[in-house]
Amino acid sequence: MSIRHSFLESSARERIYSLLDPHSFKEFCPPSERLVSPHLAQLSLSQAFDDGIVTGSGMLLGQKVLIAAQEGRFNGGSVGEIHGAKLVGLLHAAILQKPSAVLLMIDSGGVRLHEANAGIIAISEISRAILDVRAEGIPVLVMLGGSCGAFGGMGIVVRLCHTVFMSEEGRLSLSGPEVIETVMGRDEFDSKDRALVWRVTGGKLRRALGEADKLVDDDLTAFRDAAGDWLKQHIESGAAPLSYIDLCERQEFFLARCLEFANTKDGREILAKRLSLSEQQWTLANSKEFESSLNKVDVKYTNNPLDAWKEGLQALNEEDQAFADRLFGEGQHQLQYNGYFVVGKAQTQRGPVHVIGTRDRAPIGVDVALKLSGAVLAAISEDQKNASTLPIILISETQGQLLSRHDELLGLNGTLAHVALCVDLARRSGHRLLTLVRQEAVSGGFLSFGMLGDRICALPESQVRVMDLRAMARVTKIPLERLEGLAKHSAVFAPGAENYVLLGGVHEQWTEEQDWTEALASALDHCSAVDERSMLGAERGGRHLAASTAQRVKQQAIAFA
Amino acid sequence: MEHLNFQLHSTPASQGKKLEVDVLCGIVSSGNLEILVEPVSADSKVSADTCLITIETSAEGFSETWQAVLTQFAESHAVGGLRFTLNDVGATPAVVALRMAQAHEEWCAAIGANR
Repeated sequence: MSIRHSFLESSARERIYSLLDPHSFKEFCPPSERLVSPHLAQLSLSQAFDDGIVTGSGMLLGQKVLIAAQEGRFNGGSVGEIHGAKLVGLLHAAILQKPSAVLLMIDSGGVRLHEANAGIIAISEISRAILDVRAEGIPVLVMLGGSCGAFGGMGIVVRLCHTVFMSEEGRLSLSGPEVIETVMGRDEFDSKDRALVWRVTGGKLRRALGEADKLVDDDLTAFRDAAGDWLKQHIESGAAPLSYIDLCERQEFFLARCLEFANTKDGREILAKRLSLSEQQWTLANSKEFESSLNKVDVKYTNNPLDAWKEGLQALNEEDQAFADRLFGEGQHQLQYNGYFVVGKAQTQRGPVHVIGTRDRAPIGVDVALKLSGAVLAAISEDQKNASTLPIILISETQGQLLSRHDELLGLNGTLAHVALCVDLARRSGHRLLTLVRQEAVSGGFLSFGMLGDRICALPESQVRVMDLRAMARVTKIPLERLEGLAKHSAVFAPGAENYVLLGGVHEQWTEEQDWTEALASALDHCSAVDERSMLGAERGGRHLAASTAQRVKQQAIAFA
Repeated sequence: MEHLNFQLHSTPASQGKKLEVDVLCGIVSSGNLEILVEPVSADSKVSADTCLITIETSAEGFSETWQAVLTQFAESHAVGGLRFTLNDVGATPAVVALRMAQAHEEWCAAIGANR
């Protein structure tokens, strides 16, 4: 028997070297270039010469691939300005070079809080870039088996990719168990209960649920073999981008899954239904045994899955009515709402538009997410029938994702990625996407919906943030007074729409005095389907390094090819 | 954070060969450090029997310990003409000594493979 080399215990570089053909790896922006994070230095924190991510190109079975690996042991593989920009640059290089595949070894807790605003914008740029790579028919494979798993925004990013391979040790989710426990209490999610954590977020549960495509043993060679087989398959069959029909099928799959496990809070029930094994058997099963005992799932949603979002809609309340009047003019809109979800049609100075979004500082869980995706798919389909492509106004009002063990168990990250894929399909189908940030837009709920707009406008008094400073102080262990002091001079982590404007993550901020119908018309005129946020951040002076770092990786990729 | 610089006497690594390879060893995480090994740039006036070591460390006030560990390392390895740059997060002297030896070993292997 050969010796196993644990994927979990390997470093990012070791993972890359073991995966690719020997001596084929060429690193872009290697450590000797010292692309370190200036934001960590400002907080007197240690830096790494690669900012925690290795990017480059190489061969797998003699086929050219572009590859990136996050180093989970450096700041939890978290995404900051440079870290994120290196990945964006690699993805942009893929669009130019058309490699056989892009391979991503994700090992990340999500946004790096020390540079939170730059981090979440970077994850949004990564998302857009992955969607662009997929649109070119280039397959993207994620390998997950590191100690940090994939959480936060990176949990969404993983599910934007083609294929996900996970080891049992890997984890995939949105909010970490510690965050849910801190906010909602230990009864909701006991983060110390490791077995429970893995039954909710771990590789075996994710595979059984359909959030991962293959379970792989925690072994470098096993990952290499699995990636090689996958690549061979995709060279033969290609990797067509997701179509409207594909996304409708997924919509039904997600809806049916939510219904099937409507009251489930523990992965046990899901594993019992999806496997022909007892708990003791699936606990001990290796990946091969696990794969061969998966039952075939044929989920059907009872009602028409494409109409589910219409259920329970009613006329707007007074406050929302006044808001809509101000945006579109009195009598110029037919909007309805159900709970946190708002939808309808409206007239603007530039003609009719769809309106889809959330209200009442929505915490976004799987239910709300599937209403959003359903409404976006319906807008695409309706316009296709009318041979038009009306703009879609995305109203983003969210306190962030719903903190709930049940929603995490059901793959909230994957469901939010589905919303993002639907919004992206709308863009590719020719719809302009205009985001209006109302009240507040926070983290995951913003990332998967509003942040995908062509143009993002923040309404007066609205807030944009990843986390408030107090929570940030707790997580980063930096005293609150120090963070407050730094926040006065740094747009990079402090909450505030004006900071996102400086960083290029919000295109414009509206004022109370403005005529909003005119502002809306002007914003619609300025919608651009190309992601210009890093250039904007550089121009406005809030984010100097993102654009140039991405460009640098891309240029080295071109020079090497 | 504390910034430290050392110039230490050591046997030349080159013995007439070009030292164009660089190597990264270790990870920046608690109790650990990363070490970047590079040739001292050709235009610097540093002689071939000098090893340059630059340290960024989160543990302040240990320059004497660093001096002792690194002097011993430079005496026992042929690292003249090389530059070691360290990002340290409170690694113990034993871990530092181990990582330095490991970094040197990886650099030797890389220069061997590159020839």
